[in-house]
Amino acid sequence: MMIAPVETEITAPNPTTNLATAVRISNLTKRYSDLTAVNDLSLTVPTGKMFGFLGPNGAGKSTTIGCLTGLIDPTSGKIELLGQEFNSNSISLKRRIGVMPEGLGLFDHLYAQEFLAFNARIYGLEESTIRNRVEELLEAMDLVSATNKRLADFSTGMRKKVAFAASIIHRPDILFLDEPFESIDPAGVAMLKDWLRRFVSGGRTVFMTTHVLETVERLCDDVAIINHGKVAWRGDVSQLMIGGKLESSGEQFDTLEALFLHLVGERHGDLGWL
Amino acid sequence: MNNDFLRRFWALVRLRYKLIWAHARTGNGKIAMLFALYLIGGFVALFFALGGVGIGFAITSIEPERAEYFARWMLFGLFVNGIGLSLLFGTGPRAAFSEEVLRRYPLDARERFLVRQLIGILDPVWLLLIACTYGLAIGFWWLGGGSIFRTLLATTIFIVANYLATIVLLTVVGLVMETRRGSGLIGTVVLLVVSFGPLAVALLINSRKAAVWSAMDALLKMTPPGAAAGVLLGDTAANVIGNFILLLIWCLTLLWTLEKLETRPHSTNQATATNIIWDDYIDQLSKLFGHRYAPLVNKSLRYHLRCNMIRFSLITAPVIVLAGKYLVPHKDGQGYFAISLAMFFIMSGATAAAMMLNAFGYDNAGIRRYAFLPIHFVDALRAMNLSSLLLRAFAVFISFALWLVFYSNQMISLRMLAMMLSTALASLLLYNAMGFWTSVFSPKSMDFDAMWNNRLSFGANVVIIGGVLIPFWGLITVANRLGLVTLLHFWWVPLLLMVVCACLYIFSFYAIETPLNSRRERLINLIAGARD
Repeated sequence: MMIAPVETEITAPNPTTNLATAVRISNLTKRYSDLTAVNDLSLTVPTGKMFGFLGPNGAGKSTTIGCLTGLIDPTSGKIELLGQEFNSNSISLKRRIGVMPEGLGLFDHLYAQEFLAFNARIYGLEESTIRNRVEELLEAMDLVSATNKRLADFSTGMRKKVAFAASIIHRPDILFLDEPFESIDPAGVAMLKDWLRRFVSGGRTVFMTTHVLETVERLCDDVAIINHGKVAWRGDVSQLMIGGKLESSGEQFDTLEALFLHLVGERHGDLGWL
Repeated sequence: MNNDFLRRFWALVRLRYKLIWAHARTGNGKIAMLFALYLIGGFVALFFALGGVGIGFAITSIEPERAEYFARWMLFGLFVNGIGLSLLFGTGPRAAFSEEVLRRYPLDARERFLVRQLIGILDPVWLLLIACTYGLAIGFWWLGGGSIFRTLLATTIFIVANYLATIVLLTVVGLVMETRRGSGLIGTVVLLVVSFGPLAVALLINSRKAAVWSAMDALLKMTPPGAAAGVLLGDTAANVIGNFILLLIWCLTLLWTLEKLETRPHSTNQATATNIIWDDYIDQLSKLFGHRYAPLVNKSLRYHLRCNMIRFSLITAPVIVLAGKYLVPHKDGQGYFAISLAMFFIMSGATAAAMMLNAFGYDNAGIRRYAFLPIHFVDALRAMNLSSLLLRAFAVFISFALWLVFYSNQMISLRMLAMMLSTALASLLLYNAMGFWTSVFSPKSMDFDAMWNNRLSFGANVVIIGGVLIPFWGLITVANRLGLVTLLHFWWVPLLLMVVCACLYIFSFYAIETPLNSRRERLINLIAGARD
C-alpha cells in the first residue's frame, strides 16, 4: 500500500478556513485558592495564523493552554474554539485539536508505534490510515531505529518528537504546542518549523508557547505577551523581518527580546560574591 | 602495595562509610538505617548463636564425620546468606564504588579492582557475615581439635570464595538486567525461588527420603562450604589436603570468571529497528471491548503485562493454591474445601492488585493525555479496571484448573465447584469495585519498575491488608465451626455474595464518574507531579 507523504496530510486544505476566528477567549480566570494564575484574560486568534503566546515563568501560559485544551477547568470565563463553545467535556471539539502539553504526557512504557497508534485510534482513524501514518511519522521523525525501545528509554529530544507526532497524527485544525522546540536537535527543529509553516499555509492554526524569542520572531505572525495572568502586549511581529519595529506605550523596540524585557521588567540579582 | 595506595584506600573506605551514613540520614534512608540496625542486632545475636551452636555440635558429634556434616550445612547457610543479602538488599559488592567512580582517583587498573573488592567486603553486612563465619569456625576448632592456623586459613579462603561467588552472580545478574527482558526474567526467577523454595524444603523435610538427602549432601561436598568443612574437620590428611585444593580451585575459578566478566567488551546500547507488529493478540483482545474502550483497554493491557510487579503477581497466583494445600494446617481431612475457599478469596482479591487499586498511578505524566484526548475522563479509569478484571479473571481460572488437579484425590461435587467459582468471582468483582474508589480517593504516583517494596497508597493498603485478612480469618473460623457437610448446606451463600458483588461493581462503574470529575485536576497534579 502506498503511504501518503506527511506534508500532504498535515497541510491539506482546512475545511474551516472560512471561519475567521480559531480561538476566542473571553474574561478567562483561573484561581488556585490564593493564587490567580490567569486573571480575566481575553484574546482572539484568527484562523490560519502561527500564534506565539509568550510570558515569563509563572505568567499563566501553561494554565491558559490547559484551559484551552480541556486539561484545566477555568474558574470563570468563556472559551470558543472554531466557533463553538469549549469545555473539558467537548468531545467533538477535542477531535479537532492537537496538543503537545507541558511534560509531554507520554505513556512511558509503550513503544513509539504503540503510542502513536493509541492516539490515532482515540481520534477514530481507520486502521489502515493509522498504520500508514504511524510508519510515515516514525520515518519522518527519524525514529524508525528506535522502535524496539520504550518511550521511557528515549532521549528528551526523541520524546518531544513522539509527542509532536501524536499531536498531528489526526490532522487537527488547531495545534496547541507547549515549548515545542526545546531539546530537539537543529535539524529536527528546522524540519518541524517547515511543517508548521506548511500546516498554517493550509489554513490551520498553531498556538504555541516558547521562551526562544528568536524563533517567535522568525516563525510567528502574531504574538501575545502575558504577565501576571493578563495580556500585556499583542501585535504582529512579522514586520521585524523587514526591518520594522515593535511599539508599546509609545516606545519602539528593535527586537522582541527588548520589548519582552520592557514589559516583564529586567531582573538583576545582586550576586556580589560571583 | 605502597603507603600511598594504602592511604588512598583508607580514604575511600572512610568515604564509603560517610556515604552510608549520609544516605541513612535522608528521609528514605531512615528505613534503611532501621533495617541496618535490625540486621546488626540480628547478626550479633547470630554470631553468638552460631558460635554456641558450633560448640554444641562439636560436643555432640562423637564421630568426626558427623561434625563435618553439620559444618558443611551451616557453612552453606552462611554462604547463601551472603549471596542473598547482597542480591536482595544491595549490600556488599553492589554498594561498593563502581569502576567509573574510581577512575576519578589516582589508581591504576589493578588497584581499582583491588579497592572495589576490599571496599565491598568491608561493607557493614559483610563484616557481620565474616564475624559469623569466624565465630563458627573457632567454635569447631575449640572443641573439635585441629590446628588454629588451618582453621583460620580455611575460613579466610571460604570467605573469599563466598565473596567472589556473590560478586560473580551480581555481575551476571547485572548483565542480564541490561537486556530487554532481563528485569522480568531475574524477577521471575527470584520470585519463584522465594515462593517455591520454602515449599520445596517443606516437601523435602516431609518426604524424609534418605536417598535425596545423601545425594544433596554429596553435591554439597563439592561446593566451597563442603570443601571448607572438609578442611576444618577432615579426619585424614588426604581429606584435608584434597578439600583445601578444591577450595583453592573454587577461588581461582571464580576469580578467573570475574576477570573475564569485567574485561568483556561492552555492548553498545544502540537502538535497532524492528518490524512493527500490527494486530497482535492484545490488539485483538482489546477489540472485544468495543470502539469506546478498545484503545484504552489496549494501552492498559500492555501496561499490566509489562509491569514486573503485576506480571509476577499473575504468574504466582497459583502458588497461593499450592500454599493452601501444603502450608496451611488442615484441621481434619475435610478442611481442604474451607481452606480452598479462603485461599481463592484471597487470590482473587490480591492478584495484580497494585494497578487495579491505583489505576492512574503508573501513568505518571501520561495522565494528562486523558484530559485533552476526545474521551470522557472516566472512560480511562473504566478501561483500566476492565483490563485488570480480564487479566485477574484469567489468573483465577488457571488457578481453578490447578486446584482441580491438586485435589483430584478428594471429593469434589458440583455444589463445591459452584461455591468455589462464585467465591472467586465475588472476590474479583468486589476488589475491582473497590479499585474504582481507591484509584480516585487514594491515588499515588508509582514507580513502574519497582519490584519488592510496598509502595501502595494508604487506601490500597487498607483494602489489601484489611480486606484480605478479615475475610480470610472469617472464612477459616466459619469453616472450622461448621464442618464440610454444613458448609455445603449453605452452597447458595457464595452465589448470593457474587450477585451482590456484581451489583456493587456495576454501581461503582457508573457512580465513580461524578467524584472523579470533581477531583480530576487534583488527581492529574498528584500523579503527573513530582514522583516520590
